[in-house]
Parts: sequence; C-alpha cells; structure tokens
Amino acid sequence: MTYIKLTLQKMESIRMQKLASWTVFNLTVLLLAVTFSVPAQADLEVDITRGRVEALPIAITDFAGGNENLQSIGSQMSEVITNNLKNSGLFAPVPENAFIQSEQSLQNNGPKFGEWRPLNIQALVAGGIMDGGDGRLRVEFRLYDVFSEGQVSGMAYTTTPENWRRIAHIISDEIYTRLTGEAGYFDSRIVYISEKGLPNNRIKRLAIMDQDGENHRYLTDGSYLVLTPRFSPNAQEITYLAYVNNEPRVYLYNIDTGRQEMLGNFPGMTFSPRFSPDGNKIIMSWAQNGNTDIYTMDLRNRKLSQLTNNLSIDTSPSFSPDGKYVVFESDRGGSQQLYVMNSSGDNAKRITFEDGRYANPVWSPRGDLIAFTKMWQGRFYIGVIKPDGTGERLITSAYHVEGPTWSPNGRYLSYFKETPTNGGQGRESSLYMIDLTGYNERRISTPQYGSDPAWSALND
Amino acid sequence: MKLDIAAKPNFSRMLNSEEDTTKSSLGVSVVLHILIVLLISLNMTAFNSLPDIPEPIVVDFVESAEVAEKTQAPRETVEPPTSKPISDAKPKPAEVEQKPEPAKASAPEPVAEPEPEKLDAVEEDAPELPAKEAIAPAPTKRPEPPKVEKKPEETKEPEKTEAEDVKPEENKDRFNSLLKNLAAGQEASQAEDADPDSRQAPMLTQPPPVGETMTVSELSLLRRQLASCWNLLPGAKNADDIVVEVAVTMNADRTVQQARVLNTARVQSDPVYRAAADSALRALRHPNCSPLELPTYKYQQWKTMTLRFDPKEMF
Repeated sequence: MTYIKLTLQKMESIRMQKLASWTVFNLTVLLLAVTFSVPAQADLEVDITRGRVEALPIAITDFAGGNENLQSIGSQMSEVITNNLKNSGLFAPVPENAFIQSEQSLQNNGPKFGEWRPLNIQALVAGGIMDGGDGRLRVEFRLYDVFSEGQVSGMAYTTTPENWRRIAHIISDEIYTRLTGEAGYFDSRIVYISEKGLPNNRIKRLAIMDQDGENHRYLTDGSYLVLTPRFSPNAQEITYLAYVNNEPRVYLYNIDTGRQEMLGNFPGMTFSPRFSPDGNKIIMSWAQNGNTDIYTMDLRNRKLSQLTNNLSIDTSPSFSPDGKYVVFESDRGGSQQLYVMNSSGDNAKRITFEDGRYANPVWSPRGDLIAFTKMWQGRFYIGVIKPDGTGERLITSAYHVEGPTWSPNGRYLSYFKETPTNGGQGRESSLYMIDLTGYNERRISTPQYGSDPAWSALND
Repeated sequence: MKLDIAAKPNFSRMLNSEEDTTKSSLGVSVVLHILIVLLISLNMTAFNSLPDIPEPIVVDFVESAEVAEKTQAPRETVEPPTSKPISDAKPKPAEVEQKPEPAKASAPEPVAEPEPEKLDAVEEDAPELPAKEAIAPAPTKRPEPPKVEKKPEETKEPEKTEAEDVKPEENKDRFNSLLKNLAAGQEASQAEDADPDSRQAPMLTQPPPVGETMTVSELSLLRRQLASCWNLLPGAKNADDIVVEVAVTMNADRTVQQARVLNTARVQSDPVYRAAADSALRALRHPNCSPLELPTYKYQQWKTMTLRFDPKEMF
C-alpha cells in the first residue's frame, strides 16, 4: 500500500516537472516572437477637416428624342430638371453651350468621360424619350459619376405624354437622392392663400401649385375668407380655416373631388388645424368662453378629445412625425413660448427660453428640428430649434415673415414675407423658400400675392 | 290626367283603349323607373366633376449604358514605364521635379512601381452598379496592389489634435455655427475661418518606422489640396456624425491607385453616409487632386494612407 502511494507521488512529481518545462518553453517562444517580430508599418493617417461648401457642378443634357416632338419634350424635361436642381442650391448646372458631346451621341454610344472631365463636371445626366407605340412614352435617364466614370443610377418611366413635367420632377428627385443621400422634394405641391386687393379689402383664395410654381389653380372662389391651409399626409386633402357666413370653422377639402366639408359646428371658434402623421386626426385650437385649448378630432368617428386645459391661450399645435409628441405655442408662462407635450396632452415642457415671442411651430418631417416664427426686437424671424430646446438658429428675417412649412424631405422651409408699400398704406406678400442652412433663399413666383404656404408630402 | 299623358307622343299608343289602362300604368311605371335609373347613372358619370385621374406611371430600372470612352484624364498623362524606379515626370508640379535625385538614393528601398493602373475603387464602393466593360485603354501591366495594412487601434490616440481635444459638446456648438444663425455673433465663424491649417497643423500620428517622416508642412499641403477638391453638402441630418475613412493606396507617381471606404456596412445601410463617401472618393479623383502634392522621395511614407474626411471642424 505504501509502495503504491510512493509510486503515485513520484508520478505526480514527474507530471508537474513536465508541465513546468512546457510552460517555460511556451513563454520563451512567446518572448522570442515578441522580441524579434517585425512591426507592421502603419498607414499614414491624415485628417481632412475642411472642404468646399459649393454647389456640385452637374451637366444635364437634353433628353434625346427620335423626332421633333419628342426632342421638344426632352428639351423641356431637361429644363425642368435643371431648374429644380439649381433652385435647391446644392447643384450648379453647367451651361449647355459648354457641352462637347451631343445628347444623341450620349444616348446612342454612352458618355465620353474625357469630354466632361475638363469641365470639372462631377455628375452627368443623360436621357432619352421613346414612343411606346400605344400613345405612351418611355422616358429613360441615367446619372453618371464623371470622376469615377460609372453609372450610378438609371430609371425608366412609361407614361402618357402629358405627364412629362411630373416625370421630370421624379427624375430630379432620383438625382437629388442619389447624390445627397436624402429624399427629394421636387414631386410635391404647395397650397397657399392667394391674395388680391387692398389690405382692408383683400380677397383670399385657396390656391395650389407644383413646388416650382407650375400647374397653378384656385380651389375656392374668394367669396369667403380662407386661412391656414394644411395638407394631409397623403397630399390629397387640405384642412383650413374658413369664414363662411362670418363663422370661423375648420374645413376639409378633397383635392380629387373638390368636395368641402365642415369639421364640426362648435360654439365659439375652431382654428389652426393640422393633420396627424397618420392622417386619421385633426389637431386644432378651440376657443370658447374666452379660453383657447388644443383638441384632436378623430376623422373616422368625429370624436373630440381635449389635450390641454389651461387658462392661457394654447394654439398652433403640430405633431412630431412619429405622432408621439405635439409642439404648440402658449402664453401660460407669461409670454408666448413653445412647448412640447405628449400626444396624450400630458407632460408639457417649455423648450424656448430666449428673448422674444415664438409662434407657428411646425415639426420637421425628419423629426430633428422644429421651425417657428419669432418676434424679437421689432422684427420677425424664421428659426429652427431642436425638440429638446437646444440649438436655436434664426435663419431669415424681415419686416414681417411668418408661417414656416417644411419640404417633404425636411431640408427646406417655405414661408411668406410681407413688405410695406405706398409708404405703409399697402403691403405685398410673397412666398419664399430657404435651405435649412439659411444660405439659399429664393422667391416662389405666384400670379398674385401669396401667404400661408403649406408644403405637401411627395406625390404618390 | 289622361289628356296630359296622351299628349306625350311616346305614350299615346299605349293609352288608346280603356282596357289597357292597367297595363299602360304598369308600362309608365317601368319607363319612369328606367328613366330614374338612367338619371342616377348620368348623375354619377356626367354631373359629378371628378378630375381626370392620371394614368399610373410605370417605373423600371434601366441597364447600365455602354460607355463610349473611359479616360481618367490625368492618368493618361502619366509617363509610360521607364527604367527610372521613381518617376517625377508629372505633368506640372515644378517643385516636385526639383526634388534632388539623392533623395531617391536615401530612400530605404527603391520603389520599382510599374505603370499605375486605373482607379478601380468605384466598383467596391458602388456595389449596386452593374459591371461595365472598360473601353478605356487598359494599362499595360497590372501592378500588384500593395496590401493595405490594418492599423492598430492604439495609433489613433496620438492623432488627437488641438482641434479634436475640444469637448464633444463644444463641437456640436461649432457645427451649428456654420449654419446660418442671425442671432449669433460673427466671432466664432471668423475664428474658424482664420487659418485652419495653422490650427490643425500636427496631423502625423506616429513616426513611421521606415524612412524620413512627413513634415507638418507637407501634410498641411496635402490637406489643403484635398480640401480644395472636396465638395461638402451641409445641412444633412446628423451631418456632424458623418466621418468617412478612406484607405488609399498610392502609385509612386502620386496618383491614387486604389481608394476604398472602410465602413462598407454603413455605406450599404445609410444613404447619407453613402453620398458622403462618394463625395470623399470624388475628391480623390478630382483633376485638381491628381497627382497629390506629396514628396516623391518619401513614397514609403505615403504609399498607403488612411484619409479621414471629417467635416465637423467646419460646422
């Protein structure tokens, strides 16, 4: 028994010795490897922290057509795309007379990049129009990256000839999206209040047009006052305030059918309506007995829900794009400021604390900012602020500028500006749009004076 | 009543005899019902002024077009292979040509780089593009692309510059200051515009192990050149979070052999990042940035580079 025990102890000792030897060997090998290994040569690392904030040079050639008629349509489409991209402020279309390669050559043989590079053109748009034989057209376009010498996008659209302008907008959106990474906004419409006449006797009509001012038409005849139009999310309905028989009520207008409908006949005044992101509700203000609060109405069952219950004036509500929050203006703190609350109406928090008064908040479709009108030191401003109340920026100012509305991609704002005329006896108002950066303001042309614009979502 | 109805020519024959009175009443009723139905249908179709519903637009993708001519213009001017291991025969930069030959001798190893190949990074960075046949003149010889070595993580630490030491919150504020703000003063933006290179001078992160290191002024020159070729599109959502790292393999003639965006996953998933990546790659292919302003005799230092396009400082 003792012998067996001794033998086991000896075996254990030998095993431990072997283990120690292996450990020493392994450590030695590791040490040698670390000592004599050749360090890998590291890449040179360089930070490029500045660039040029300039419009991207782009060439938009006429879309080639097989006959004179198609060629004419192709030329007009190219013009629409050029204007769209130029007006965005992000692109600098190169004049056509600088082009070397013809559109027909582009369509038939493809681009000769060597003829575009010297112009420092970074993107090239080419296209063609073919007669489908059934009265419809097939419009093709291709977007090329000139420096990398490759096609980066290409689509074809089959439609009736009268749709050419809309196709041009859709192609503009494709180009914009591919080169910026953001959704486009060109295939959208603007509804606004068209104004005519002296300030004390203005005729105000609801009007609608494409975002570039084309396809303009009036929706109401001017026999009653209309204000604050707002699009539904599907861009097929408009809600607005109308004084029919001198009673201010919120109405719905169906663009397809032309049908108007009063949204409940309540005592007092309902105003400042806006759709919920899902289109099922209208959020609005209701003033009664000297108090103004915010309500929602479910359009499916016309049920009314009260969101705020305060002795102050709560108005101009706007949903966040996810429908979870509502931004509104209120004077509950003593001055007109912006507040954000849950869509159920609770947990209201003030988000503006700077000097001045804030009004007309509207939440960006991309959710990151809230636009507003600000009155400060005798001037009006259009500004943006983050929903948490930080990062306020005032991006444009005028004697009277008001009513911001977001482009469907949340990148641009439209609003109206009023300027006094005849030594203050009259005033003229126009629609404008501006890039979120605040550097590309331009006027939107309308047949008469314009105010209170509302931008639609992209057309279906 | 009878006379009134009989006066109608359409009904006169039906009412000729007294015994047909019941029948004729039924007939009148039927005709009137038909008329009502017709009126209702007419009302639905003609009196209801529904606007024309536009015909749906059929959308489909088009195949990639043939390319008539691919020419990376600056690349075509690169000299054909010569016996000279390092070619300085560039189209323009005089100062590079004046680099003394001894510098070549001092280089640790002669760089016998064959004729540079065409840029081929696009296919990697734009995977959705169908493959295209390159009609452009093919390079006579395809060099072995140098392997881009992955840099250890710790090398990022010393790269912190004065500008990067700013707290994140401060950087956010500066992002906003680039965007127009009528309420803000001009001081911040003026300070930003003063002289970016003097402020951001030290960019070299660690001494390269082989050969002479790049000097601060050489790096500054490179940064300034690339900045002139890089088009930014400000205003995108979370623009201050878009940093594009590009692994670049250079030819000895200071032209880009290959450029590859490192964060390929984000290129695939984030369209804004993809546009930013394209913008960075376009900067590297811009005619004004080919060739890059680099000291030829330090080829081993810049043979492979990681360029980080980070617009945060601008905003």
